[in-house]
Amino acid sequence: MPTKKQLSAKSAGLLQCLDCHKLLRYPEVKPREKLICPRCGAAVHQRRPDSLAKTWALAITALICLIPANLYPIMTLTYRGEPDTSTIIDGVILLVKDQAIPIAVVIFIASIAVPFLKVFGLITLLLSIQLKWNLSPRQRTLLYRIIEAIGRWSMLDVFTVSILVALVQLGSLAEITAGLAATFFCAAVVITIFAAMSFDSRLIWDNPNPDKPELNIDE
Amino acid sequence: MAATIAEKIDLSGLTACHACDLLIENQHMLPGSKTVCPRCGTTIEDPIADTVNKTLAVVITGLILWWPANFMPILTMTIIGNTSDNTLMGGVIDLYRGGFYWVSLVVFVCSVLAPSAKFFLLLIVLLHIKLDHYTRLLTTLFRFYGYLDSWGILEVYMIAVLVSITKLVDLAAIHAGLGLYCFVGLLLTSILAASNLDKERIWESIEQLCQQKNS
Repeated sequence: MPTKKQLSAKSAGLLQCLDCHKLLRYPEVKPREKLICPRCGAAVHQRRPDSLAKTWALAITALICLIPANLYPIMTLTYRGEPDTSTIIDGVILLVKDQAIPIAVVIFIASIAVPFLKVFGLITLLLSIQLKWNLSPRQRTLLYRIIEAIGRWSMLDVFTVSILVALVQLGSLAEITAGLAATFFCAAVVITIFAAMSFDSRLIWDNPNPDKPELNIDE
Repeated sequence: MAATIAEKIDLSGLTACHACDLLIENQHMLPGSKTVCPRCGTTIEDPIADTVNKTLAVVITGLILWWPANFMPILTMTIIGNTSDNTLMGGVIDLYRGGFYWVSLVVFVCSVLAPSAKFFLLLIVLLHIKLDHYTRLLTTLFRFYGYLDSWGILEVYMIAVLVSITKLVDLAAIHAGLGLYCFVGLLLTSILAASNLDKERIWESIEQLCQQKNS
């Protein structure tokens, strides 16, 4: 395989607007001066400011929210006067008992596996950059894209609660109310989406050793 | 050294990968052939022929379905002669009444506000491009469309409807309402709108309109 010099926009003194993908020349600016994209008006940066610190903060917050989200009940079903509270995992177990295996798998993946994997995936990306781990940048970019794409599916349980709360309202006969876990779970999902957004995937490809020239083996 | 390279480079034939920042020659590919970043594999450009007309048609279809999908009953439940139903907005209101303000806000944004706003913003931006009319708000509106992309998640809501049916099927008789059919239509149109929208082309059109206005 031939080695070929691959230039990033940053090392060529250029920057790209992340909102409209316009390529711009990096102008002479004073420190802390705000740069605005001439095409779309968004603030532009060569790299998102404090990307790693923000992503760390949000990922840890999400992880903390996930603990009460899984321990507290997410909803209470009162059927003919008998209240029955259930946590997220109770819901999955109940569906397995009812032989609704495919739905149980979907809920397990969306509300238990995805949030945790997302947070741990982000932490892996953060550590790989900060500790200069020798992992394939291409695979790490793929991991980031997967994290970005699957995050929204965790909203499944929150939406289910919102449907059931509105639908099952028959007073003393049958009634469903939301539980405390709904708030924490919802917070965890929203925070992980923000965490994925604040991560700048271009940092994966930045040369960790500025002394050496930026050379990459062309795959 | 970096500054000298930047001065020499002609920007018109260049673009950068938004995922890894690699400089790539802009090939202005024909519709149907997409450009992929050679370094990280991210899709750079996927041109779509006639994107404005196609997307506009889909957006108008979506807006017709918008009212029934948001305000007509999605599911109806019957237990021993007692019936109750739910709508997209009803779930938001009942969560709010139950004291779950934050959850209701998030459900409102993800299931009602963001999907609706995406349709309306697209309609405004595409109509302006179609009619060659420029206003300064155009760039802000289309930028907002980009921000809403992560939050409009109708497909997840659709699966949540199926999960709710599975959970209640032993307890009561569940029927699909008119809202559900319109909701499925709205979901399909939102997917079609996203897949027919060529954002790079729209940004270029907005830039051209701006230059026409200034010259």
